[in-house]
Order: sequence, then structure tokens, then C-alpha cells
Amino acid sequence: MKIKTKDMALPVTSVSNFGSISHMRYSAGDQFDLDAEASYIQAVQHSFDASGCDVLSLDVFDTVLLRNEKSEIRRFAETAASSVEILEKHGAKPGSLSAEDVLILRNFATLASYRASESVRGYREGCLDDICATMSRSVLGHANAVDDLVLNELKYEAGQLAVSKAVRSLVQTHASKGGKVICISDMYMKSARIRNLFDMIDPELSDLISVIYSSADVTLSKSSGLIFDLVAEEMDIVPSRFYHIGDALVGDYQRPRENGWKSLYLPVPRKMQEVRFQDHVDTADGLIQMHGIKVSISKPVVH
Amino acid sequence: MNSMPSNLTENLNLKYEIHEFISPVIHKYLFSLDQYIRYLDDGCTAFLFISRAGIRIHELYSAYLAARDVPMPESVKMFWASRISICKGGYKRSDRARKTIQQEFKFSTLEDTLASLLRQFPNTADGINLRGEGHKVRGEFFENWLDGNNDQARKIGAMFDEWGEALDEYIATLAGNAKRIVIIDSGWQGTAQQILSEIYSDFRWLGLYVGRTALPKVKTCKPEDVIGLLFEGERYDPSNPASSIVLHRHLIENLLESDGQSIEEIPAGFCRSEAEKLIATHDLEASDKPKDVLYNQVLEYIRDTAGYSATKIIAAYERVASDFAQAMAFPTRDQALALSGKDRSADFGRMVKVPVLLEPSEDTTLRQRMAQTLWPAGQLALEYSPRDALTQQRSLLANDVLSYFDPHRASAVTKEPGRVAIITRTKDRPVLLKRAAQSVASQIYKNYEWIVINDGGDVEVAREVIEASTVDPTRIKLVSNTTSQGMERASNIAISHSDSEFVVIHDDDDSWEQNFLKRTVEYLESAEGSRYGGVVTQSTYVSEEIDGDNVIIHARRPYLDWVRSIQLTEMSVSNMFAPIAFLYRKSEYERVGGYNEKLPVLGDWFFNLEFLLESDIGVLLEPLANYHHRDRQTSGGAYSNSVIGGRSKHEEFNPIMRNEFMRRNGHHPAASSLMSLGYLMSEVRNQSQITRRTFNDNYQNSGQPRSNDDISRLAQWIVHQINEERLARASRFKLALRKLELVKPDTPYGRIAALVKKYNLEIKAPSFFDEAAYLARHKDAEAMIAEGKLPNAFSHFTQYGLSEGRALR
Repeated sequence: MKIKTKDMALPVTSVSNFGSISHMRYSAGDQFDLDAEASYIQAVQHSFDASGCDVLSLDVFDTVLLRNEKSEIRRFAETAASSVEILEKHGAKPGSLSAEDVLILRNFATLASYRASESVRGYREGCLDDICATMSRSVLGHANAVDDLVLNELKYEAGQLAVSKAVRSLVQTHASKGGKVICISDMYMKSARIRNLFDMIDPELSDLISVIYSSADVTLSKSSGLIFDLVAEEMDIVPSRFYHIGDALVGDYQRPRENGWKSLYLPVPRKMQEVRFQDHVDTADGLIQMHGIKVSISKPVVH
Repeated sequence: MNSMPSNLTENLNLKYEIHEFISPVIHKYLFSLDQYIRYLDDGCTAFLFISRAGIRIHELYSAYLAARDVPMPESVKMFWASRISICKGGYKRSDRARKTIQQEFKFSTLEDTLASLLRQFPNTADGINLRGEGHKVRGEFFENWLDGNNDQARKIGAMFDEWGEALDEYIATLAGNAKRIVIIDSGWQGTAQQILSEIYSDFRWLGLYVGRTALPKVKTCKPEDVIGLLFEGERYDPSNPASSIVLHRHLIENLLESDGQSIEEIPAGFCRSEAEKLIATHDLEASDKPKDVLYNQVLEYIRDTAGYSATKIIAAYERVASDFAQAMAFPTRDQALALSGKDRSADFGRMVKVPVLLEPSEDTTLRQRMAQTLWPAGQLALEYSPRDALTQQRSLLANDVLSYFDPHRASAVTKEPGRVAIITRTKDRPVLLKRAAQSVASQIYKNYEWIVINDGGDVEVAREVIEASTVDPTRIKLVSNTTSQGMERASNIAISHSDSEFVVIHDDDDSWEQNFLKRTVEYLESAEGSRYGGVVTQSTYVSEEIDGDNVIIHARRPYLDWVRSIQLTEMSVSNMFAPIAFLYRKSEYERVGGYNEKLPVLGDWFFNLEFLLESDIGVLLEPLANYHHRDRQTSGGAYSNSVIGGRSKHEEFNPIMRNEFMRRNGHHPAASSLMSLGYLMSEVRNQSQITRRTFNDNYQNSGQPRSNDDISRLAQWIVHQINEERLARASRFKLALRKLELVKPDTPYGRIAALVKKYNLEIKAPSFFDEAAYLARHKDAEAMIAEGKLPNAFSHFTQYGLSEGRALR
């Protein structure tokens, strides 16, 4: 049936959309192409300038450091192969471990790290160092391989990440004016490890970032919203002076706003989300078909 | 009741040997346990395997480690204890310990309670003379008895002190220098862990269990510290086949229950020797004597596969996982018998054994057996033919679980979840629009578009609120009319700008609980919901007022919570839900033709009626929508409700709406009779309300009932309720309304009383019927109630007092 609205195209009706920069990124065909576009770089810069904020706060992964099309499960599967060599170097019987074994060990160690760590105000966080220690103890009976395993993961990550040109430009401009730049990450890597990663990828950019906060250090996270007060208190700056940019709707956009910060939402492009989703499915299917194993890593959400 | 004969559990022709699909599940559990132990093994942690399940878990874990290069951590110890020993040791210091004892002995006599607590001290038990009171007092009052001023209670109280000292000594020995203590047990709620963490709060207590079910709230023990290694939750989750253990937990209990006695005493202090005797009964467990066949097979499997890599362990589990879950949820008769295992010991100081499955016999009813079985799905397999058993077993499971086993059902939920258009009508109400934005932003379900329609208000006001909100900016559209087009037209305009599968009207003054969209979309996309064009949730009525920029909430109460289904006939009497509670398919909106723009109010009711002419509406019995009313706001204006502020408009447009519905849908076979019924029902209800109000006014204003007048009004009260019942029956049995004769208000009292009896009506007393005064005056009524012949004084009045002309006070 036809809708009985008198006249749909009345001139008195106007329509407005919101979040133009968010839209640009969400609908980008290629995030790296967009990231290099002058109009995008200017739009991000303008958005920050218009906020009048003093502190530029950045999410790390998929905001400052852009991930490629590989899904998490594929990244872990690829890291596992080199972890086997490290464990063998530290005493594991050669040939006794496969990459799939290490992938499973890492997966269970991650679950234990997230599930059994000490909670702070009801929240828990995993920690890469603890995950690697668990793997080392499980295979070798001691934790001596921790540093090598962590370094192995960092090196691998460094090879997969690229610095966002738009965000780098923003950081340089703000820092050149004497402004403060910080990073806040919901990540199982402690801030020192994230700093190592920045140093490996872009030491000059690393120097411009004054502090890195990680949920792995303080257990409080962006997604819970509790880390924002902590950062503001520690820096002794009122919340309204912070401008946070990130790709997570809740952790990087909603929670900062709820805590009095200003925020800009730069979602991962839909196309990239779909590619990663498919990569997850392909990798998981491959593990089932070739080895009969399921790894409990959630499918990435496409939204 | 008889348990199933054990010989039936042997020599069964199954797809697998039973242990073949249990062993890989246990192997995965041991692998997971090892990962947690390695994670927690920081040199400051003691790992305590708690008896009795811990004895076998320890044995299995040792077998698991045997072929690995990694030794058992040095801080692993046996913790010889039971729930009852820990409750005794903790009784004086733990609420949870006291509550557990009270719960366990709720229906026992005091005599039996003491016998259980003192089972290892028979001389002490014999020396207690309860002088007959032990038969009278129930165990649930044990705490009160213990507080009593008598020698027997003091004696037991002193024993609890000694048990407490023994537990202190034992825990100190086990803990050594540890700061963290990890309990390892079969499951499921971590009772011992909760009590111990309450008493010894200096330690951090963690529990590693096969599985974890729902936890009671305990302040001293964080729920997240009770860890289920194979599953956590009360329900079977098909994405995790091992969680099917919740359907038959006794499989694991049985498997891990060693043959020795429960350790009911603490191996320290005054009860050390009694505890050691009990521990000695487990020495045989460590020997090579034959144990349960199933356990031995599992142990052998773990020993044989001790060298399995992580990949092999998980792959073996994955191979059997689906069949394992199938056998837990839908066992065949053979599987049920084979998986029932030995009888379970009742535990907690009692000697009785409890069978898992019960043998069908003429001595018991099916209902009794189902109430007592420890595995309902298994019992059904014994009770019914395979086909009927499957039907019954399915009824035990939730629909989302069933879909896992039923590809046809599953097909309904595999597509990407549908997008929802959330339509918010607003006009110069920034305070309320801000709250509506929070309601939208907080939704767990994120696949929506939020279309705000500013209907003639200041667009900049709306824009400012939206820009400051936390709603995903890529999902917002602001549609603005420079002049107000009315509520229904505003809805149609907004919906015309949407691109979605579902629609819901979220007015600027209402709000949702955060899982409203998730639950409603899931429902409409489920197999169960696929037959419905829309779904409503229950609502909460929120009474509030606006004070400047603040909203003051005065009260919250359920709104129309009697609604359990949406019937067209009922909807014809009055609107049964608010728009905020109703999510529907956009295709239905298009079929109906949108909201009727001729109606300035009641457009949602009209829409619902037209909706129901061709489509049904499901009901979710969860209060997920909040229907806000500024019912204390003295002034109207922007912040008034259309329902409150425009009360007279609603009354004016009620007949117009009904007429319009008849004209527009006259061709529809149900429309005219529907409106007739609706009108009649609403008239009766209105009269009933008028009577009720008159009563209240009369009684409240005078403070005294006016005798003859009051009896007359009470008679009318009853007549209205009889008429309501007649209408309801007419509707229920599809009787022709024109043939229905309503009882007239001037019907003789004797006839009214006869009708009450005829319909067997239980008529509620009006709020000002003075029950006490009536009973004080009529002792025979009091006697009839005391004898159980009548439920209350008003029923005496309706059946006797009215026709006999008795005074009210």
C-alpha cells in the first residue's frame, strides 16, 4: 500500500547528516589512499583545531598505527611459526612442537591471562608478558623464554603496521606548537611494549608522544571509561581540554564524551572490516580442515 | 525409588565406547587446567586439590603430565576437606557457612542435623539429650537453637569453636608462604571457596573448576574468581558443546567421585584423628584396585595419550564434541543408561545414596520420577519411545539451543541482523532529547539508524543536542519541518527517510533499557518470532517532572504488565502498549499504509489496530521499555505528554478514531464486529471505573459508609464484574454480541447472588469494603472463613449478605 503522507517532497522539510569525517573513513575504499588525501588530513586537523583542546589523545592500533587486512587469528597463526623456533632455542625438543600447537598454547594462555588476572574495580586485562610466560612455563617448565617470545611478537607486529599519515601530520603540527600528545590503548601490551613498537616503526613519532597509557598497566580501560578520569587526574588537566581520536565507537568515542572529553570517531573502513572478517573465516576454516582444531578467537565484528 | 540396575550399563552397542567421547573432553579440561596453573604459578601461589573430586583430578593431572618434560608445580597439595567440614570450621565466622548448613538441613529434624554434624563423634551425639525437642525443631532453626541458653547448645557451640581453630591450623599449614590460594575441584558454585575467602580474606582465593554455574551474591568472593574451565553459565550454549555438561553435571560428579569416604572432619586440632581415619579410606584409591569402569577407562586414555600435542588434544575434543553434546541433551535409552553412572552420595554428613535415573515402575508416577531424577533428559529416554522421548527432551531446551540441532530453525538466524530505524519525534525539548540520545547510544545492538524529526521546533536546538550526544554520528539523520506537521505525519516523513528492515518509534521523552533492540530484533529474527509482524516488550511507567534542565523521577511501576499476548479484540477496547515498546517490520508499515495523518492523537492505537488486522504481534515478558509521563507537571507546554497534556483530546478523538477505523476498514470481515465488541467492553469498563470512583469518593469524603446506599452501590459493583465476565466469555467463545444480554444494575439482590454462584466468580472487594467491621458484626461469616468454606468476608457478602440484607458494619 502507498503511504498516505500528503506530500513527501515538501520544501519545508530539510535533512542533515552528521559525522562527515567519520563517514569519510567508514566508507573509504582503501584506507591508505584516504589517509594520504589532503582533504582528509585537513578535515582531521580542522576538527581538532575547532575543538580548542590542549591535549591530543590518540588510540594506537587502527588509529595511529594502521593494521593491514590480516585478521587477528591469521596474525597469531603467523607469529606462532617463529615462536616455535624460540621455544626450541630455549630447550623444547626439536620437532616436538608445531606452529598450531603454539597457536593453541597462546590461545589458552591468553584466556587464562584475561580470566585469572587480578581485577581492578571489577575489570580485568590480559598481558602479553604473562601470556608468553605461561607459554614458556607450559612448554619448558620455566619462564626464561618470555623476553624472546615478546620481542618476536613485537617484531612481527612492526612488520604489519603502518603509521597513519593524517594522524602523524596532526601530531607533528600539535607538538610543534608545544602541545601535548598522549596515546591510550586498550591492549594486552604494557605501555613499555607499545613504546618499543613505536620505536621500531617510527622513532621520530615516538619522541613526539609524551605518555602512553595502556590498560595492561592499569587494568582500567577505555571501554569501561575508567581510564579517562585516571589520565586527567594524573596529568592534572581538566577533562574538557582533552581531544581523543580512535576507531572504537564505545571506547574511543562514547566513553571519552561521557567523561567530559571531546572525541572524534574514525571507524575502520567497512571494506577493511569485511576483508578482515573473510580472512578470519578462511583462516579458521583452514585450521579446522587441515588440523581439526578450533581456536577460540571471536570473529571480528562488521558494523 | 529404585535406581537403574547397573548391569544395564554394560555391553551396549553405541557409536562409541562411552569413554571414547568423554575422555577427550576430560583431556581438554586437563590441558586448560595446566595452562591456568602455569599462568598462576608465580612462586607465591598454593594449588589445593580439594577432596573428594580433587583426588581423581590430581591423579588425572599427574597422568597428563607424565609424558611431558614439565613437572607438577611444587606448591600443589591435597586439601582434605568437604563442604561440611569447611562449614563446621567456618560456622562462627562465615554467613555463607551458616546459610549452607541451614539450607542443607532445612527439612531435617534437629536430631538428624546434629547426628550429621557429629557423625564422626557418635559418643558426643549420643550424649546429647534433646528431651523430645529434636523431633519438633527443624534444622532450618538450628542457629536459633544454638543461640539458646541450654547446656546442649553450649556444648555444640564450643565444638564449633574447636572446629574453627582446627581449620585455622590446617589452612596455615597448607598455605605456607603463599599469598594466593587456588582451589581445584569439579564445580559448580565454589561454595567452599566462598566460605574460605570470607574467613581468610588476607589471601586471594581463586577457584578452577570443570564448570561454573550461576553464583549466589557473596561480597567477599568475586564471581570472576570462580573460574569454569570448560564452561561458565547456567544454560547449555551450543557454540560451546562442553557446556552441555550443565544438563547432566552428575556425569562429571560421578566420574570424579572417589570411592573413599567424604572427609567430614578437619585433619588438624581436636578432630585430626577422626579426619585421618577418613583420609585412610582413600588410600585404596591410590592403589591399583579396580575402580569405576568409566573412570579407569578415562584414566587409561589420559595415560595412553599423555604425549599428545596441544593440536592433537584439541582435535580429539573437536571430533567428539558435537556427539557429546547430543548425548547430554538427547540421549537414547542406551546412552542414558550408560551415562547415568553410579548412585550419587547425598554428602553433608548423610549416608543416603541418590540415584541419577529412576526405574519406571507402577509404584511411582512419571511426575515423581521427573521431579527426583538428576538428569531429566536421560529420564525421559527411559520413560518414552525414542520418538516421543526426543519431543519431550526438546521441550526441556530453550529455542535458541534447539536451532543448533535443527537446520531448518537455524536457517532463520544465519543472515546478518537487520537494521532498525529508530524514529524520534521532537520539538523544542532539549532536556528530553538528550535523554533519548543516551537511550539510543546505550543500546547493545548497534545496527540502527537514528532519525530525529524536528517537527516545527528550533532545528539548532535539536542539532546541538545531537552533536553533543554519544550516538554513532554516522548513523544519525536530522529531518526538520519548519512548521509542525503533527505527530503521525512527522512519523511518516521520518520513516520515508529510513532505509531499514525494522522500525520503532522512540519519542524524545521515552527511554529503553540497553538490551531493548537486541532482544526485540533477535526475537523477530528467530524461528519463533518469524511468524510475527512486530514484537512488544513489557514497559515501566515512569512518573516524572521537569525542573529546569533536570528531570526528577518520582516513581516507577509496571505498565500494563497483565499483557501476555496481543489480541485484536482486546486492542479494540484500548491501546495495549506504548510506541516505545513496539518494534515492527517495515514491510508491515508499508502494508498498513503508515500512520493515519488525520488523527492528531491516538494515531499509534489506530496503527496498531490496522496492523493487527493482517498480522500478529509477539510479546517479550521483559520490562525493556520506559514510558515516561510528566503526570505531576502542573503546566502543559513543550514538556507535557500528549497523553497527560492532551487528555481531553484523547477523549474527543476516541469516537473519531473508531469511526475512521470502521470507514477505512469496513470491507474487512473482522472490522465491524471488532469495533462493536470494543465499544461494549470499553463502556462496561468505564461504568465499572465510575462506580469504583464513586465508591472511593463517598467513602473517602464521609469517612463513614452510608448503609443502604452503600449496599446498592456494592450490588452495582458486583453487577459490573458479572458483565465483564460475560463479555469476556462471549469473546472467548465467539458468541454473537447482539444476543448477549447484560445484567441490569437494578437486578434483585437474590438474582445477583445466584449469578455469582453460577459463574463461580471470585469478586474482588472494593478498597473501602471494611472486612473487619463486617466480620465483627457477622460471627457466622467469621466461622465460615475459619472453616475454610469461604475465602474472605466479601465473598460472604456477595453470596449471603447481599440477598439477606445484612448490614455492612
